[in-house]
Amino acid sequence: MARAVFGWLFIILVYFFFNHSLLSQLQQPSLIYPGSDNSFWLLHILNIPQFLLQHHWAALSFDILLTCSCIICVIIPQQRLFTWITVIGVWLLYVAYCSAAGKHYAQIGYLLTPIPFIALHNVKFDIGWNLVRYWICFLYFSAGIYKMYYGGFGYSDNMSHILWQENAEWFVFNREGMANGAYQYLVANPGITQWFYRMATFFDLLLLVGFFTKRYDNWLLAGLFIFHLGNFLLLHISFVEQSLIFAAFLPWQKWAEQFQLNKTDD
Amino acid sequence: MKIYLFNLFNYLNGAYFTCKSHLLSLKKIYTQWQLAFWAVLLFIVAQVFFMAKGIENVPFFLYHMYGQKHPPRDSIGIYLVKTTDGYFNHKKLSNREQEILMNSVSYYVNLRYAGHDGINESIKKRFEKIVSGTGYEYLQKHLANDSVAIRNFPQWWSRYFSSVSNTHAGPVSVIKTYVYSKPPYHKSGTDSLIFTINLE
Repeated sequence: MARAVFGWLFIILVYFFFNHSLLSQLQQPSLIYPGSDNSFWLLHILNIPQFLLQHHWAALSFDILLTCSCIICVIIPQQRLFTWITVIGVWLLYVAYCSAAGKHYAQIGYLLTPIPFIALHNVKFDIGWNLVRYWICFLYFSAGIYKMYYGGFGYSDNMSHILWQENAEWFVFNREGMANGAYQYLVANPGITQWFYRMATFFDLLLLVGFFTKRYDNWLLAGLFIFHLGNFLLLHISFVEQSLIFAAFLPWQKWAEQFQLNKTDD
Repeated sequence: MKIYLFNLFNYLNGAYFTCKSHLLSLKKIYTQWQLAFWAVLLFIVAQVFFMAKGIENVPFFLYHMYGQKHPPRDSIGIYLVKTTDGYFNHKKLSNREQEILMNSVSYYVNLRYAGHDGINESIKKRFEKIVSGTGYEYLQKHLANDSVAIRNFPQWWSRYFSSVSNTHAGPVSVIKTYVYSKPPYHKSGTDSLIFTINLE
């Protein structure tokens, strides 16, 4: 399981590499953005993100260390040092990246899922894995509550306006074609579009079930996937780095038992 | 009725966790891993506190995610990149590349034209009575962007643009324009120049 999760994380790091978003590829940004986040402030006061962002050799060393640590976690999962380096590394990568981009992003799946692997003891790992699963359930359930609390759910034109705002740049470069027609239709018909928003809220709130049973994890996984696929198709929000949250809902135990059974048969 | 609901709950869930079983789980965590128990408790308290305050502090994330009402607008301001070949289609880049390339422009514009991003005011509010002199200057230096950093932004931006677009020569301009909210959602004919830089 550790190999699968860290292998998945490695693929995400490769995705970052091919999309010029590892620290050494950011070309030493001149501006920083700690925002109002106290954790960002603390790291910036310690000069850590700035040091990594503004010195190419430091950023390159960091990227190499992070990537190699992740690979070592795939090859030798039963060790703690490189797991710690990987976990701390991805969090630093996240903080530095957000600071360079001028915005703090919500794509954090690759930050949460590797955390339980710091524990080598089976009992502690189980506790950690369950806690991460609850954390993910909480984040999405709270997203659903926020949609209702802040009034987005009850505002009938909300999704239509969101679609238009998020696709404004896209419309500039795609003035014709079926996709343009489809987006224009959705923006012009808020009554239909708002159902997407309601479905998104439903999928968010569905994660409450995760607090009470693991029996429907397959459905929760499907719901999360549909939610993110919808975001990708309608709002062009990629979910590659967020995808590691799916790992918390996969039937690892069933697969392990099946694997064990097949091995015994052999 | 209570017995019926209880049996229905059992039937629907199979293996289920109730409030009682969650408390028992916490008790189990306490006996097996005390550090995790206190960490979880602290985390829950901190998460509730930050949610109530509406402040996001990593790792206490607030997943607002389009929760707010988005009111109607006549138009929306966007930033585009203009090269000698016309507007560069930055929407073809990945999300990660777009975020660094274009979101940073929006942040830069706020800094350059508004003169601040609120950080100096926040530093003053949080630390004015606690820290003074060189300590205060240290905080400003490490949390805020000075005029040199703002002035260097276009050079940095051109380096990153070259790396993601494979364009290495010629003038490139970043402009601000507007997209109308009525179909066919075309952009305004007027572009406002943010900066121009020659790629080397």
